Amino acid sequence: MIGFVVKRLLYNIPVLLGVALITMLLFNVAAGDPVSIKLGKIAKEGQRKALAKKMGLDKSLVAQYGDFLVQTVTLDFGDSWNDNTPVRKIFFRGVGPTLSLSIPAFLAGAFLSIALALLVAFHRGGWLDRFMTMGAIAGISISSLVYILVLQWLLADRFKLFPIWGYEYGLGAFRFVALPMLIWVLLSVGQDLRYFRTVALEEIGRDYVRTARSKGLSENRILFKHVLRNCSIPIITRLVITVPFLITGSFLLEIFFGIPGLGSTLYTAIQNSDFPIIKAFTMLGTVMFILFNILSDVLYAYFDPRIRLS
Amino acid sequence: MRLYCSIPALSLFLFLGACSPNPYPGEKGKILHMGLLALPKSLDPPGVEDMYSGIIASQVYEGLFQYHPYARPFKLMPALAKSWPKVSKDGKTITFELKKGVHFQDDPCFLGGKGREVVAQDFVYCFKRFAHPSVQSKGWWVLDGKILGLNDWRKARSLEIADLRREGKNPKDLQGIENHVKGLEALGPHTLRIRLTQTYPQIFWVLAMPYLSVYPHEAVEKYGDEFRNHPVGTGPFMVKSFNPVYRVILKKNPTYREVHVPDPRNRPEDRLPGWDWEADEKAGILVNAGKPLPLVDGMEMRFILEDQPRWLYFKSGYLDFLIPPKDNMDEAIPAGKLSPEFVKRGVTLETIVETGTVYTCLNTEDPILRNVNLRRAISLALDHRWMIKNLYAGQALLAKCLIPPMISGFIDYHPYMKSDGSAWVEKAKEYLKKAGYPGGLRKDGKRLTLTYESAGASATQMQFASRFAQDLRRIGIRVERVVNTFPQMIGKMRKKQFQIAGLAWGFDYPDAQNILQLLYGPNASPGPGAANFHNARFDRLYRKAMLMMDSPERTKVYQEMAKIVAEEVPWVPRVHRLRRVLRQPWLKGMKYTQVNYQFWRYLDLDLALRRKKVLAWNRVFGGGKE
Repeated sequence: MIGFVVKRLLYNIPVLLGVALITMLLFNVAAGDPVSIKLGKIAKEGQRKALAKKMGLDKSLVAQYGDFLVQTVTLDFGDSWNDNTPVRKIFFRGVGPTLSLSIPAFLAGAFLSIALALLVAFHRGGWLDRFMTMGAIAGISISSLVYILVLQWLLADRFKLFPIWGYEYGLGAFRFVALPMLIWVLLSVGQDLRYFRTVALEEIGRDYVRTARSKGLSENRILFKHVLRNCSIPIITRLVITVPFLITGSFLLEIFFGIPGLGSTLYTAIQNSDFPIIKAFTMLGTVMFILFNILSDVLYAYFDPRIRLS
Repeated sequence: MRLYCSIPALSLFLFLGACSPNPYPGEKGKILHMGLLALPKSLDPPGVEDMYSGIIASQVYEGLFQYHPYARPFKLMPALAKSWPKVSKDGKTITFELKKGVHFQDDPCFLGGKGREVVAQDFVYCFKRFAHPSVQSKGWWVLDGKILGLNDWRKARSLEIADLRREGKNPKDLQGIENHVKGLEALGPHTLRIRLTQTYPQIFWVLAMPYLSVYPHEAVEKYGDEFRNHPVGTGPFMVKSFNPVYRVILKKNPTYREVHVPDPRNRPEDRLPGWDWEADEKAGILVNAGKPLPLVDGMEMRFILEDQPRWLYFKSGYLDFLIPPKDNMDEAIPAGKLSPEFVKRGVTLETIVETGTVYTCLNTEDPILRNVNLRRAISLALDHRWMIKNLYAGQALLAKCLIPPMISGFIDYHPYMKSDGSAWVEKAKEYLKKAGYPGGLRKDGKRLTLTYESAGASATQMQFASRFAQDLRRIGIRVERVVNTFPQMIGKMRKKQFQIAGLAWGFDYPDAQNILQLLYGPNASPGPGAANFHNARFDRLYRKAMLMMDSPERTKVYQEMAKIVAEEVPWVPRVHRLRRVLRQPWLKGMKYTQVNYQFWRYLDLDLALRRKKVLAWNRVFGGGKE
């Protein structure tokens, strides 16, 4: 297994180099001149040159690319161009609020999707199945922004059930993340339900389920002990791949509900062409994606003895 | 199946039980609630370069002067200066006496945590730090070339840092700050002398800007880079907690000196010439007159970047005042009047003309736009009236002059604009013919094509560009539209690689020089003068005005310059935007402005009324009705 992991890590080095290169090129082509943002409307050429030097923008693209790779390896992306705060500090400041929203939302969403998927698979073709499937399709089709705007207006402003915007650190966070969590769950259930339903349907149709029924096992036992266990491989794979996105957060939810997390940090960094933060988040996202992909493969082999890692 | 039903029901019950709409749980005392629509960048004075940092910093820091909270036209009054300074006959030497007994806020950076007295040397230190090359202040232009020896000092520091780096040594954070600047001297603990390179009438406005506030060197040394998040000033409020991406909480400074809200009724010395204080009193603005600052226990400013939550926050009573977002303008102020719902709630409306100008910038060095008659034709073809009605929903004034009406130098004159702002198509066609493009055709028979650049791809920007193209199409000119990011646009302007751009200017201080400088020849690109306007008479008048103190004579010079701009059309002024401010019924003593942010400290509130109203407006399932 160690050999497999090492091999997969080595295979992904070109992916990392490629992502770094594309990020660099996109920033240089599309984002414009960060010196102009920093110095504003009245600045002299000398000032511009000095700042460009300080930001390392006077170097050739190849040298900047080299610096970028060194930063990725050392995990030191320097200071934000916007407010000079070290990127590392910005990350640690935002990770708590992001996780306080994303982890409970992820767990609740996963629990609900799996439970509903089993339920509708069990009642395949019935009104509940049709209703839930239609609901899931409608859920996927509508933009997440619509959910946010409508539910914030309806539940927080009209019904006064939740705070409209804000955040408290510690246990007080629950009050503030409750509504965005609800929206997150609705969005994720819409996406996951159909996939998990297909997986469950495939299992329910297998011979061993028929055998279990003929042996007189209860439906609950068949569903939770046998079907769920065998569905777990594709479910775990899908859930594990989602984990990197829990850390980068949902910038729309964070911005609209005032959660000072990593998503809103990334959003403002993109607005301000704050390249050190964009670089750090892009590389962090890529590394996490690679690692969790490898982890999902390893878990696959762990849960299904028929699969061999090679 | 029972399990399936009971788990979600229990979860929902717990979920709702834990929630309540109040976003300020456990708050004690009289705290003002404000919403800022962007993140502040830094609370370190030389880095206070944006409005939102300025709003916060202006409550914590003070400088030699400050804006009067109510007087219009804008007036300055001494803050840490004892009185107006002595100015030498040539206007180049200014001597300030400082107030005695002013202390910095208590902070662990001081021995024993007790704030020490402010002395003239603190100002010298802060001005030098502002100019220091390693600080990289965006505001350097306000002192660039103005104080005797300061530019040389700055250059010497740059060289010193470069030399040290060449030798492989690490320069200190403020390398060489102890070196003397000829024009900045502390003549005694409470006497500061500034010597200028030439008369600089705007310096008093500049001294009221947050860039030149005073702070102790002890704080800079203790906090280093973190000083930007840990301000230590002399103002009525100090920072209790600051999360740069979420909120700042200010608490009152318990050691603040005795300062009272201007009280013109009872203190004749507070009646500034030109200020109609009786009108303000009648309008209920002077309700806090004579009270000692600070008026409240603190302020909480939340950085609410999106329009919907900011709007809903205000409607629920969680913000004490608000500029309504564009999309909610119709709900708040239908047909220009406050909505009946807000009237019922006791919300009041204040309308101000923004101290700034939205304009179309024409690159006068462009081979095609060099032609003055073409520029005049463009000005005549634009339909400002339509734009105000449809793109600004009536929330703007027609700008005939680049200088807004409340600033000295404004002149109601534009020969290439109809008085009602509508397009003057026939006359535009005449000028187009004079320019050598009859019917919009070039000599080779092809249609004249111009490029219009805008920054940002927002719906508003797209509508602006689209309407511009439509206006010019009516006189036969084709317009290609290019959308840029803001930095891309600045880059193009710096390299003179554009023809026409939609821009806006907000005044840094209420003096026409601040906008006229953009058309002064030597400021052409890569400087800030994107129109690359070169007019010998305009430049001469600008140099003359720069040596004059505020006076009717200087106003005449400004008017002459505005007249030249109207005739030569390097810019087409479009509008001065209107700002509508909604105030909750419990907010007391507000006169809004965007030129300075010190007025926030003069606000008070009726806490009992707020509690009562907010409770009534936020009953669960109550629908937000009173």
